[in-house]
Amino acid sequence: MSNYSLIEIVSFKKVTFYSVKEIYADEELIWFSDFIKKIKNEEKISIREMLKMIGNKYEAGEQFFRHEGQAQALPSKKVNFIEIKSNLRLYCLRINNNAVILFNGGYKDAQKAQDSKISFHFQQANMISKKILKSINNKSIIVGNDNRLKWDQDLII
Amino acid sequence: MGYIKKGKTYPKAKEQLKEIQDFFNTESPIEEKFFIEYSMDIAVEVDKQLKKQGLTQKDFAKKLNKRESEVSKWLSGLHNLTLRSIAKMSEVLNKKLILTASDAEEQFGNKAKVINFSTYKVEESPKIEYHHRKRSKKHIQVSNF
Repeated sequence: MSNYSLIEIVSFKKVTFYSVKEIYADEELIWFSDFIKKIKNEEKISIREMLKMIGNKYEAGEQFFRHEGQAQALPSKKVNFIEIKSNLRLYCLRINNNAVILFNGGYKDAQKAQDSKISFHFQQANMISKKILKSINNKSIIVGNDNRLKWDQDLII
Repeated sequence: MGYIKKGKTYPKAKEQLKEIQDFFNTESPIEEKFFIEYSMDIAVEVDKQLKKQGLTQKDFAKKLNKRESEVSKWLSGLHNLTLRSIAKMSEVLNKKLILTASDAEEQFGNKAKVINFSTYKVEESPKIEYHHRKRSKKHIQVSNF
């Protein structure tokens, strides 16, 4: 069975992005790294620039995210501002305006995420979001005064 | 069950972090960058104005004499916004959605300074700040693993 821990991947002026590191036997996989390997080149540009704009200019306001169960996803339905194929989903968990955890995702090919090929990503995002929110509630993950996340390096979510 | 497939070998987490760092440090083509910035700025401004004026997307569509689905497309980026549709939204919102470089100079005089390309930062102005485009690697810190 896999174990999961949190990892900081990039910090911009206004937002720090984190991801999940999955550990199974001797292997490790950072979910966001898996995501960027799968998406098409033109969408890499869109995702990169969107995250940079949110990170450097706007902060991670709620308007940028769509609700996906306990988790969220980018891009939003409301402010879906870029030429990303509307069926691309990057699942994530917005903690506050300054901290977002990026998961995995892919191309949604059915009306409901649950019926689509990316249903596994949807389920994983919801499973890990519950665990992370629980860890925040029981203070294993602390939201600092600067809104950044702090946790013990050995923490398994 | 997770993403890791039994029997498959993955690069070390340190290498994966380096790939993420490279992803963020890659310079996108300028035209694409501008396109995304303009699209995002306009969509964010429209959303902000709708909230400020207490309008839903449905109300907005009605005022534009358009179907909600069409307006949703306008704000979705799937539809390349035309100047005509931007003008129509500006009319309904009673707010200019685009300010050109010369407009900014005229409106704010020497308080508006060119930062890079055609973007402006307005100093000492009432909360108007155009996007600071200077991005250096200093802004991107990848955690030490």
